[in-house]
Amino acid sequence: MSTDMNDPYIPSKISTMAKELRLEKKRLQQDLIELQHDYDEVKPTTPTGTPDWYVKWVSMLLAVGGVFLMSANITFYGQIAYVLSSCGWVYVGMQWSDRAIMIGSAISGTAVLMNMVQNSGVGL
Amino acid sequence: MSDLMTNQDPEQGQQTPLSEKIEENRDALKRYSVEEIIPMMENPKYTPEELEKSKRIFKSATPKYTLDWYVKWVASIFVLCAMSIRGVEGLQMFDLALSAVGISLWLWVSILWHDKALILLNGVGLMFLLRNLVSTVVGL
Repeated sequence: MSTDMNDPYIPSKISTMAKELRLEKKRLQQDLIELQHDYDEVKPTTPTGTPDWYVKWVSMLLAVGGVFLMSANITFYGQIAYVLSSCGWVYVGMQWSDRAIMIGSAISGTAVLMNMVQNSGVGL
Repeated sequence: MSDLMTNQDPEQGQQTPLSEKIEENRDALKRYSVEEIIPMMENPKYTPEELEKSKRIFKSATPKYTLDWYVKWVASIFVLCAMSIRGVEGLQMFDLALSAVGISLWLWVSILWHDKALILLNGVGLMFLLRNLVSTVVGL
């Protein structure tokens, strides 16, 4: 009398389960790779949650506010907001070691500051 | 200079599995993308730990020598050119056009970086520039 356990050609329940688990593991690994790929496609290149992230958002709000105020002829406060925003962006550029952001912000901030000083009549 | 990315342990003079080295430097490696880590492993010059701690080695949070790096610098040159002619009589159109091109390119870079703050900033800036450009053209 022969049983399934004794027959080497009939797979046991354990080996069938092990095979299924291997396949499931492979499928899950593939899913993980695809998820990682999807995340990499949408994740920001720049740092998030760091101090420079907060400075970046405050600077962005100040810059947009400054531009709105200047276009609404509230020039002085607009220029102050823009200069503060430029300082913030210079800090962000330094933290990111990004020279393009540093140069662009520093020069535009200086230009607005010079204009502000000229309009206020200081040194005239 | 010891290279942590190599298999050789300089102090013990024996082979250390690369996986262990990666595990030890996991925090330092988080700063880098796969594209940056692979050349580091193939041709180790600085270890991730050295890169993390060093104040001399130049390391940028934003990508270098990629498409967005070139676009970023071209955009910056456009913006700086526009600023250099700002206030010159009769060149307002050129100023606005150069600024619009520069800010559009920065907007492209922001989208490539998936940076919402930069997208908003450059998007609003571009809207204002286009409005001024259109009003200048219509006013002529």
